Amino acid sequence: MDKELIQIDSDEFKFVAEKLHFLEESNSALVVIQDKIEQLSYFHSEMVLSYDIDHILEKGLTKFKEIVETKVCSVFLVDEQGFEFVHKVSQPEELSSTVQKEVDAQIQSGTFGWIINGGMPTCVPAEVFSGEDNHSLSIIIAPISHKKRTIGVVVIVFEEDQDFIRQQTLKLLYILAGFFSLALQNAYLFNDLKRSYFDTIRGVTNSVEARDQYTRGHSYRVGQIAKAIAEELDWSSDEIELIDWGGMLHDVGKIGVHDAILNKPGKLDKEEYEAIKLHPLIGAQIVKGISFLEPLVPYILEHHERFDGKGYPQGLAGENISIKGRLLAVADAFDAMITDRPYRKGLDAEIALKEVVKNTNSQFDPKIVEAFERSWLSGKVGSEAIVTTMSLSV
Amino acid sequence: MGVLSINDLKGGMVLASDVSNKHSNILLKKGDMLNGKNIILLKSWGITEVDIEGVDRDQVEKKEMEGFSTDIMESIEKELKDLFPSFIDNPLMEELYRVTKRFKVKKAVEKTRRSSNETQ
Amino acid sequence: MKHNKIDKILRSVDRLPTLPIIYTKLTRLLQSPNATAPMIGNIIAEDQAIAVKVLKLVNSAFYGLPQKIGNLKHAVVILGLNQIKNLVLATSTLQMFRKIESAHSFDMQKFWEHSIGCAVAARVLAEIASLKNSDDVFAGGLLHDIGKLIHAVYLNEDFAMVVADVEERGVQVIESEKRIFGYDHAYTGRELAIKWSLSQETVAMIAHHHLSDSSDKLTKEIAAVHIGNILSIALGLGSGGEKKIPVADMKAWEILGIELSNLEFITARIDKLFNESIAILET
Repeated sequence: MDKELIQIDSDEFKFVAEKLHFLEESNSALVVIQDKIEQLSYFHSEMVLSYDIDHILEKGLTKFKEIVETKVCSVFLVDEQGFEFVHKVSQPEELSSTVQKEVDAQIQSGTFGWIINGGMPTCVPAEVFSGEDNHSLSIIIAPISHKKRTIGVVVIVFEEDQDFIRQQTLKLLYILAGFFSLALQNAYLFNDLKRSYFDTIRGVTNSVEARDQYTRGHSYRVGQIAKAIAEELDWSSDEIELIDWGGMLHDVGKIGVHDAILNKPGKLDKEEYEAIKLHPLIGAQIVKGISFLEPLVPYILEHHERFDGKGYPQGLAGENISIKGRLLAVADAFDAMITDRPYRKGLDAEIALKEVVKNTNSQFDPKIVEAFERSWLSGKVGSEAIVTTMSLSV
Repeated sequence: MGVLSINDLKGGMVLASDVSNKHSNILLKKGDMLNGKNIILLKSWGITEVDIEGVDRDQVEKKEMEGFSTDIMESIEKELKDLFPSFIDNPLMEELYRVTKRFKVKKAVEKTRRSSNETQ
Repeated sequence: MKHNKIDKILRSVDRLPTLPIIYTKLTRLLQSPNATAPMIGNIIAEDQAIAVKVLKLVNSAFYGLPQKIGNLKHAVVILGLNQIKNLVLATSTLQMFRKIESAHSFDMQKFWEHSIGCAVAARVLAEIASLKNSDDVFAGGLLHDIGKLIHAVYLNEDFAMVVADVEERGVQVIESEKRIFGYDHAYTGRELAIKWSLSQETVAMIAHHHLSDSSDKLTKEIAAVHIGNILSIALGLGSGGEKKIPVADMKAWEILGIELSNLEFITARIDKLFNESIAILET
């Protein structure tokens, strides 16, 4: 069979070739974009995991610079008291003073305020930054918001570059600024939530102490003392933050103890004593149900355990007692000694300290006592410090 | 008391009422005194007008223009008189008149500054 | 039959100025679904002068883009087809203006400065009012007084009378035109724009920019050109033959939804962009 020769129209050929060429270029650009989007998703998950604002800013900006070529990028956050836009961080750090000057210039010319009012990321000519041949560079100023309120801005200054699809990069940057906003929003929300939990817990503690007037403020002070000791022991800031809460809640179990027993002026009889001994257990039960408070259980359950194993409720000994329990035991006992009770007056702080040292190894962990002594010497838990905290506690 | 444009604010002026940003946060209170720092704060939130104690806006602008040569001021006044039609009840035209006057004065000042630089 | 003279002129195809070929070629291409960025870039590149101007505009403070756009293909991809079309329209009509010599009693140089001033002012207003098609508004502002150009060039003697009348009585050009011709440059501009097959929006902006007729419709785009025209006259950016600023229609200002206290910021921005545009379009 004869094969038919199919003529290709030369115009049509040119047309198709052009289209192919364009498609090729678009495709390689798409590959670039896809790669950047992938990097973006890592960026997102890394940022959202953290709730520490400074950490988010540092990490975020470093990642920004990896994904897109920028000359500098910075974050300014609105100060909660005075509402000024305060420079928080710049990447690279060396350009932070120039960025400050740039933002000042943009504020003076009215452009900054206009952008904040509009609430939309906007690209404008830079006033201070300039390129090699003195022509002005461009900057993006992107407002960051939380609950519809402007809480800061991201400022990005561009490098001179010959990237093909610049509009896409612009869109990418707007998205990145949006991620920042999201991560910061998360952090703020988390902090809001933390604060309201803390307020709730304080409310509960106050109601416990309201029934037991001689220990008003005791929970707060125990937390402060324990924190001072933990700092001497080089605990992480996350752990130290927990101690505030642990201190607040360590006696929450007393809610289950009868008023009459709590405030009895004389000595307790055996039954009454047994009732009081239940409070660590009751407290632990209460708190165990709340998942984010789980780390506090050892503070509540074990603060009456003794190093020699003669404590309650479980009679644990030595290192079987969690470090949290051993820590709080010292702080709790010390504060109990110096405050007035229905059945005796409080001891002098110096004397109480000597009592604690005397009971090393029997009641208390020697390592904790040693740290306690150090914090005393450094003045953190001195008699003045205690007097101050006593007057501060509500 | 009078409402002044943000660009007219100077240190020492006293606020006649609270100034809030778009989220109703009070940035500055009635009675606060303006200084370089808090003027920047207002500008950063896009505030365009502020109520100032004891000033009249026309007075402030008059005073500003006093510094300039009377020849220039007179020619600008005449220019504006010829340029502007009569109008009633038109806030835009009023504001335009004010803005145009300041614009022309600024241009005149720039021009004299440039020519004096050249002759030096 | 009211509009005798001008209708005759408008109907005679050979007498009318035609839109630059490059613009018509472009518009035709853009109607085709197969148009690609490189194709568009190539058409524009056929006229070197226009190509250079388009690139300069794209790189100016108007757009505030992150970095230098090196060639037309990029410009097309980044700005989009509509913006590019308007830029070409703007630059090519200006080329046309420049070619026309100053008619008697009509200063061409000042005329196109005023046109640019109005275009810039309208665009700034569109920006601040968050209108999506700020480049359409730019084109509309640029062409708003094209009717005056036709009058000055093709009805030279009659227009000279208008100029004298305006000088003597201090009235608006449209008032004098209506008195002497029976119609005004908004009407002429509209007819020309229709003949040039410009978009409906652009035609409307040219036709209604004075808002002199109660039947004039009011859109945000028309409002921007109306106010833009007034601002460019007030600030003395070129001259379209007016001796007095027209009274602004408050409804136009209100439909834009901009705070009056922003006017100072707006005029500063117009001034800045005007100077930059003149520098680019001057050559």
